[in-house]
Amino acid sequence: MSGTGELLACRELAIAAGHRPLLRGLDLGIRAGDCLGILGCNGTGKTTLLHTLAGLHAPSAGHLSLQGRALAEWTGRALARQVGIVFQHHTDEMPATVMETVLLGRFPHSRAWQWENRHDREVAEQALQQMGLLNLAQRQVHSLSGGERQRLALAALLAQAPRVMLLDEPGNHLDIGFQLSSLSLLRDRTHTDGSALLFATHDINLAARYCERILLLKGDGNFLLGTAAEVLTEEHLHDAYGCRVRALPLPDDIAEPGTGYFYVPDRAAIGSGPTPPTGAFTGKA
Amino acid sequence: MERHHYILLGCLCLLAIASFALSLASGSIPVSLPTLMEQWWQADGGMERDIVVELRIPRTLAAFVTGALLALSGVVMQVLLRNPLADPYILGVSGGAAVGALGAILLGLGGAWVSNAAFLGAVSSIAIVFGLASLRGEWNPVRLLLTGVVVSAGWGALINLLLATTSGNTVQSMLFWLMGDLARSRVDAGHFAVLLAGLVILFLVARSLNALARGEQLAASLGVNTGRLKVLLYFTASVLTATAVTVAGSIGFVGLVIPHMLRLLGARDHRVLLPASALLGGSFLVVADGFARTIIAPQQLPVGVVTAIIGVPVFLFILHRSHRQTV
Repeated sequence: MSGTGELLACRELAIAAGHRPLLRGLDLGIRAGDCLGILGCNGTGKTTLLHTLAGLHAPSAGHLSLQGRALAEWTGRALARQVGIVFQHHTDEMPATVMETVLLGRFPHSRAWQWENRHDREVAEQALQQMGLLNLAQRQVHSLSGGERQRLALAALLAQAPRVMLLDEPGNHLDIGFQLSSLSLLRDRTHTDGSALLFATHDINLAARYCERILLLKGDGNFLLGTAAEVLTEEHLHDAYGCRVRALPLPDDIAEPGTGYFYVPDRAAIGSGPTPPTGAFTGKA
Repeated sequence: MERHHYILLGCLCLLAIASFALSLASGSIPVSLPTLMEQWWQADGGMERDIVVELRIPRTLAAFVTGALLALSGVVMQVLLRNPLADPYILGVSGGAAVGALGAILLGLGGAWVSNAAFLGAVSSIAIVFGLASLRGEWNPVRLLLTGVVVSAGWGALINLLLATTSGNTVQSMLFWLMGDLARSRVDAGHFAVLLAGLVILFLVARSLNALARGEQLAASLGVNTGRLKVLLYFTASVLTATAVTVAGSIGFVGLVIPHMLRLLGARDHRVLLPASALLGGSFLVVADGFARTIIAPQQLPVGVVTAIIGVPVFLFILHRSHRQTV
């Protein structure tokens, strides 16, 4: 642990897609227990930023350090014990079972030629249990539904047990119940074991519910970074998404946790205005 | 390692031993164990002993080593390209070897020269594909695959040119080389060393292979140095293929199908799949060669024909069975 107590730190970080700058001059410190949401419309660099933080993409400028040591100085395996990522898309070109996939999360925890030990198996089983997949352990991955695959990816991350968890669209394919239960589980984990959670999402409400801080990307190099309440205003969201978003106050009994607002597109959000009712659903109410 | 993995590997060892015994016993002249035992200690030997020692043992060893090399290479190519249709020859190694071998045959050169020319051809193909695929730095599976397939097509054209401009008996021996033939194949300690080195190197990265098989990005995020691993895999698989092709020409089907058979039988973990492939690939080619020698004896079939005749139905059966299980 570095003197400043920061797990992950960006100084003057800049990232680009080819020659197109996505983000410039980002100063960001992630501490144990933090949860940061990364928002922005399509193509603004949310995924590229996550990949950069995972060491999979080189920043175009700036400094990136993990526990006080430059990210580039970390070896792959040691880095993978500290930083884990769940990708937006899951590829499975070669066949594998659910258990085999989760056990891959234990890969960074032993040498390449070692076999998984009892502890690795227990961790993997616990991860499957937490994601409600234990009864599917011997199933082929390609026979799973989209939501089951997403939970499997989260279970593999739990088995990997990194200090910094990076999630790209964690709510993908998940129904509302699993979205909340899986993110709550990861969020609780940041409180208990001092890890940190960063996730990119299109779901403003999901970010508002779990994140203290929000990084709102504009895609032209500019960004907004601040507490969820500071960043998630109607004005900023309109600016970022090019569409009017209303922040409606939530009733007291469901305002916690989160900003206390529910974000919905305004009636005038769609350029052509709301479509007139077709009458298809007004038959026999 | 789980229990069914031990059982699988145990069965494959028994299969290898059985295939050896079968191969030594079968051929145009039947050899029985008692006769062999009787002749073994006689000073001047006997015909049966000579046949076994001079002909069948070397040929069986050649078949086993070639099959093992091809199956290992197939496993690696399929992971490297993340393509189930990949086989040891897909990146042009066999094409280069064939052009070398056919060139030597055309010049009327004999056995060892043909092998050396084949190896030279294979090595130049490996270098050409690697050079072209890595011209722009980063090589992804699609770029490598396309480069390999196009270079392969180039070799194919050259092979056809050689065949079209040659006449008579020379074409016959060229065709036998192309279909893969073990009749004059001999292996020495060098070939075993390549096989063993390949197995050891691949076994050390077997867990990384497990990760790579699930996607390059995923492997990188788990700490695998994917750039270095891919280069290692490319050269290891290529050298394995080149060695196999040098021994026996381009025998088809083994490298494509053996890895899939084993995956369908539950050996998806590369720490099991790699040794299992070597064992099954070797045994499979030994058995196939046994058939090639006996089906229309004393005439011999090219073993490449037999690998397909046996392999196609067996593979389809396993595929069908496993499909029923998962659905």
